[in-house]
Amino acid sequence: MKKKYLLLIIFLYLIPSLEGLTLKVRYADHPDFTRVVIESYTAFSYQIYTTPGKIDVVINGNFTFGIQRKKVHSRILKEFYWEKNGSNTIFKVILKKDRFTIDYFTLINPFRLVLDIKELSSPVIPELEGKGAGGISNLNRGIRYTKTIIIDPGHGGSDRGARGPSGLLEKNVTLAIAKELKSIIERNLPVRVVLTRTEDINISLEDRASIANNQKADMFISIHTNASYRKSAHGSETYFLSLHASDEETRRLAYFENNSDKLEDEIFPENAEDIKLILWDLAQTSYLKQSSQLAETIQNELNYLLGTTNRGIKQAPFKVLSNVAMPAVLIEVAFITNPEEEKKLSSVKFQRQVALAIFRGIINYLKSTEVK
Amino acid sequence: MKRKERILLISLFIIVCILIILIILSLKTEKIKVSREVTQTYFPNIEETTEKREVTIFFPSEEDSLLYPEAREIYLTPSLIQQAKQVILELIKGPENNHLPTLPPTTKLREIFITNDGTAYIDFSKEIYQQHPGGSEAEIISIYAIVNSLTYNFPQIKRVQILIEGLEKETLNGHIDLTKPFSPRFNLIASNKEP
Ligand SMILES: [Zn+2]
Repeated sequence: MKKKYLLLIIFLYLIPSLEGLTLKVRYADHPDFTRVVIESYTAFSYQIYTTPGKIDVVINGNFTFGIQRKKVHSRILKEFYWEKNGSNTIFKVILKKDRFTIDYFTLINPFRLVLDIKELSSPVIPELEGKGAGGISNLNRGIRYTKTIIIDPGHGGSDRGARGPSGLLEKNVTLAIAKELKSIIERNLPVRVVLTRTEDINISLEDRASIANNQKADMFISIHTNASYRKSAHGSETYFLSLHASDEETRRLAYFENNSDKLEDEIFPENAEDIKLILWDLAQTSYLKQSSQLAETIQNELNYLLGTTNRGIKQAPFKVLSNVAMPAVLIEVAFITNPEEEKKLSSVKFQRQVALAIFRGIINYLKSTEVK
Repeated sequence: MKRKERILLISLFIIVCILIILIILSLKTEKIKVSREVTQTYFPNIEETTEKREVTIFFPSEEDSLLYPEAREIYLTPSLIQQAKQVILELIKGPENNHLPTLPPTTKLREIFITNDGTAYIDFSKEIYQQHPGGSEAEIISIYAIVNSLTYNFPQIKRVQILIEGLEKETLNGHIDLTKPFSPRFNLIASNKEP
């Protein structure tokens, strides 16, 4: 008798906490992407892993999701299911398509993990290995108007760039990838490819831009490998130019407006106009929109290649991009300061895969500009 | 006669040698003196006031590529430049919590100027790029740790330009443009992350 009561008490005690551990899942198709939201009463930590056609959300802690397995009606989602793995709960998303990219972030009150999943178009030239002429028949106006592509292997000569923990030098990796990319493009597209350097020499940032401008090129792609104080930093990033001042000032004002009563008085003096917007008139300014599109198509392919997630396109005031009068991006292929990625970067196979991913990104960009 | 001449020649030679040695020595000590003077100006004398204020300084973290705040106390000097110098010196000194450094610890702060329109010029020694790991992420984080730490604490400072050894330099290590002043980017601060 006593035991039963005790069990009942324990059971009643567990009910609210059990309920707190149940996660809710919602999803919706948007024109551009499909959003999956995991909602929880309590915040949780998580890792996200992707493989073709599949997303694993590893949630640290014991949670449940009501139904074990659920078929979903969506443009890109196929089904959800979940399982326990030690002290983790793994929520799995199965997709209809193999190739996709994912962005994720969290919101609070209540705690939500938001996954935005975007389908990637199928590779344009699937059989690149076999001379790959297949793509050209599909090539359209975007490509016909593109005559010259500039590839800029970062650093060179006495400027070694960043250095990996076991001594790999950025300048050598960037040149190898650039040469590979040049040969892939030339084998598959009727365009001319010019490298800003073909050997291990110093070239100033200004000269790199001048080479591109003098060639009246249609596209500028600078290749680098990233470095960080963080040992665990990994993944690729594609940048386009941001103008130094400008929208950041507005952000700053918005920030103080929202966050600090104390500072508000100080930051909004009678002479508020004195916080002027400064827009620099740079050669690159009028190409920013195209550059951001090019950055996005390349980054999507790199994310897919590396299985990296949550790495969007970024903006920063890069010197080499500012003087270029054409769509221009700077690619940080991977972190040379990360031992695992350093190893990858040193392999010819990976350099080739990166070059192929960039090439696919270029093609997708050219396809999208065709309409205009 | 010949002997006397020879002795004279030898003694002359010895005198010349001693003179040369003396000149070299004096030059060397002069050099030492010069470099000492320079190092003295590297460490700006901060006026120690009784009143202090709290400031927020930003450092990177192993977590992600954002900046994380740390609180510090600085002397509430009447001069804004002196306060700004203390913030930069704390940044060079490095993090106290579980964060990562963002500037090479050997970097020296040479001088700070602030113009009437709110542009702060921060002049660093060459170590800021020589000892820097390079790479876009590290450059962006180092630059905006400086820019955000100053603009966040001092509303009078609206933008920041970085000088090296008293001169404008194109980039730290080949990436981010240093030839124009930077406005703050508070969206790089972790707690202020946009969804
Ligand atoms: Zn680089």
